[in-house]
Amino acid sequence: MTLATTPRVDDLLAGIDATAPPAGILDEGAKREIRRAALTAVCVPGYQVPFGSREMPVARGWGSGGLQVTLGVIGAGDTVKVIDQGDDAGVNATNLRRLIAGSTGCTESADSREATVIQTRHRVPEQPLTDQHVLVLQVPVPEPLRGVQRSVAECARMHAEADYSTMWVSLYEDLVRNGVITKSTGYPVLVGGRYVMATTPIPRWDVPRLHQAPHLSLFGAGREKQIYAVPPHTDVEPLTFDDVPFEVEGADGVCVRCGSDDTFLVESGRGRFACSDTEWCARVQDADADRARHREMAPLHLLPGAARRPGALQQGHLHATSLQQSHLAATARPEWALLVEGVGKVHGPGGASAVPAPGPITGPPSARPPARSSPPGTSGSTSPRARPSA
Amino acid sequence: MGYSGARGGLEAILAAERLVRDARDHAPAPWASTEQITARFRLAVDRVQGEAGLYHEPTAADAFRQAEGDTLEAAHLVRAHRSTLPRLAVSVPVDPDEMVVLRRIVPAHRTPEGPQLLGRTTDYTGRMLEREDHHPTDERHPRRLGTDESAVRHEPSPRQPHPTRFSAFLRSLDLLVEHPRSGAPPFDVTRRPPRPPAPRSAVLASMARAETGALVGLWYRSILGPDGDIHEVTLGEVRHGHLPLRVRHPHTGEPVEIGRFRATETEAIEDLDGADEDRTRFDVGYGLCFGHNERKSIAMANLDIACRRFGRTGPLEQLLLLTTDGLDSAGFLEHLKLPHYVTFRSMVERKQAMRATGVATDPPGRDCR
Repeated sequence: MTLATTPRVDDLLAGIDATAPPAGILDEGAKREIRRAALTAVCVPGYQVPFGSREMPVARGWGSGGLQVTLGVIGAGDTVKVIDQGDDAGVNATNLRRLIAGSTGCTESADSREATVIQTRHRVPEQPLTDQHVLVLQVPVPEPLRGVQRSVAECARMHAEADYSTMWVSLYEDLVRNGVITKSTGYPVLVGGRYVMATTPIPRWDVPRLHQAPHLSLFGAGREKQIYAVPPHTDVEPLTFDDVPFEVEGADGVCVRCGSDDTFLVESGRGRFACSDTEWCARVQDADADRARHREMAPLHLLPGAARRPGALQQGHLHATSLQQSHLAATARPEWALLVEGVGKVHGPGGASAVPAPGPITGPPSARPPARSSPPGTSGSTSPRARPSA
Repeated sequence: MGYSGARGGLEAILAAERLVRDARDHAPAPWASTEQITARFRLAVDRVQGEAGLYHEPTAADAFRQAEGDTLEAAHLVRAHRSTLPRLAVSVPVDPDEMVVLRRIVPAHRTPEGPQLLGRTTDYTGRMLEREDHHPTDERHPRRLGTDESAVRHEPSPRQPHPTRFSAFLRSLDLLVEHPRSGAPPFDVTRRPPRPPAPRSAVLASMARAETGALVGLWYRSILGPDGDIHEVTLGEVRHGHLPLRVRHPHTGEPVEIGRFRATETEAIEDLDGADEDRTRFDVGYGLCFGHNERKSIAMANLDIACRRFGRTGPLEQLLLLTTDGLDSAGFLEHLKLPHYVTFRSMVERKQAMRATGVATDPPGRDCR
């Protein structure tokens, strides 16, 4: 034994263990911290609230954030439902459910109508939710701006100043290059008219169901140590352009099991489709589902259709292919493009005093760029190449 | 009564657990006791303690056995265990000069003040594989008092050295850049998520808990890769030894030593060469981690000075804070094994939508993603 005093420490710990309630997954201090973060998140819809994410018995990336939020808000009187990809019987859903029920004494259910807390990986249940529900979404990447800005310090600034221009430009470029916005799941939304938020990777099909919803949605990102929320009756608007409708996923078929054409369908082999929400699918088959109410909620008006896509894009604007078919003689060389990279690191705190470093990046002194000055306040940026030269 | 979902998943999970338990706990071999593991797999235990951020050898050893030797999985078990425990006290900061060294080398000086103490190392042992028929040497060599890792005494004898640091020698020659001390309490990375820009203590704490391989990989990239964040580092100190753990007594308020722990400490001296740096002096990076893990401590010290110089002008600070934790990176990587058919279906749908428009041809230029 290395610790000469270990027995005493062990005795001390044993004494505490003896008086403690049955082993939980989180100590009470951590739960309190999570509740505080969740309350802050509710007060500032869409804002990512940092919290001291604890290590869970499940790996980070496997729902550790959702699990912490669930354990923070749930009590013995609650009923928990856990789904993974919409499926109650998925192994990860099953594992999380038994952890939650086993450590809190709450009731388990696969029926959304009985559940009070629903932890989900990447689906909103097809059953319309009410104000009795807390929906806890597991979040792998909470930062909606990460695709357009790699520096987390810069992302924080962009959120603080509501500077979402890069996001809009990326959506525009996407549209110009591809004819549609190709963002698949985790579609960025504007919450409460203020913060751009990542909708976890729920499919676009589920995004409209967060808008002005009667239920509370809590998003837990354990690895990234952030909690954010969409409180009931909050605006959740997908980022899109006035003349470009937001599109949900369409499928060329109906559910092979229950025949639904108004649910989110996934491939089920041999070109057929099935509901990803197994609970809803089974209840439709058992005639135990309010299909009319569900159909009202389903985002059928947002299904993709070339007819609804902006005619302007198809006809009025020059799109990428026609730009390439210009009157100029085709050259073997690629079209010119501006690309500035590898400008090199700078010494000092940044800002006007930043000085380029010697070394392999910047090359010989003759090739080195003159001292660059950056606008004040950008010294936290990790990407010198994204910074304009003065 | 409402819908009750299929429960096939649970049986599969329980069956998988049985397979693991049976094969591990009933393998046709003698049981590896906790003492066996702490005594014979010291470096693995130390690695688990460091990456878990919890110093208790028997706990780390139990986790190592349960994880079948996967140190990262063992660190996960220990950290998840830690999440269930209340925080009883916060220890008093310890001066690393109090370290009772078991090993100490100063590569930057031939005859530094204090000993060059090789200690327990295989650095100069030929890497010859000892096969099954190898037997322990018959004779156990008598050990000098104070070099035995398990022999911890409360009061260091005068013979136990607290050698003066090499950096102190440099400072006496006015060869070190002096930094103002920040009086701020250290950043607790277990309670607040560190985000750049973060104080140095947050970067150091993140590295102290980081996965060893991640730090080594980042170090190698920094010295030989495209970033060039490490210029010409010389090690001023590499130490392994005992440090005291003290907490304030709840009644008297006096610091009381309640135990000791082993740590590895490194000081890395960087040759400053930047345009706005004091090129007539050196600067020192610092590394300290639980247990005996020189690789980690050396990488940490190198990356500390690299981060001080280039952390904010390049991606290094963000890399150190957010990408070196083993539980984070391994968990996220392994989550790819989870079903992803909902997200994938959505991606397929967009591919088809794109194809339907007939526009999907890349114009010149590059996407910033």
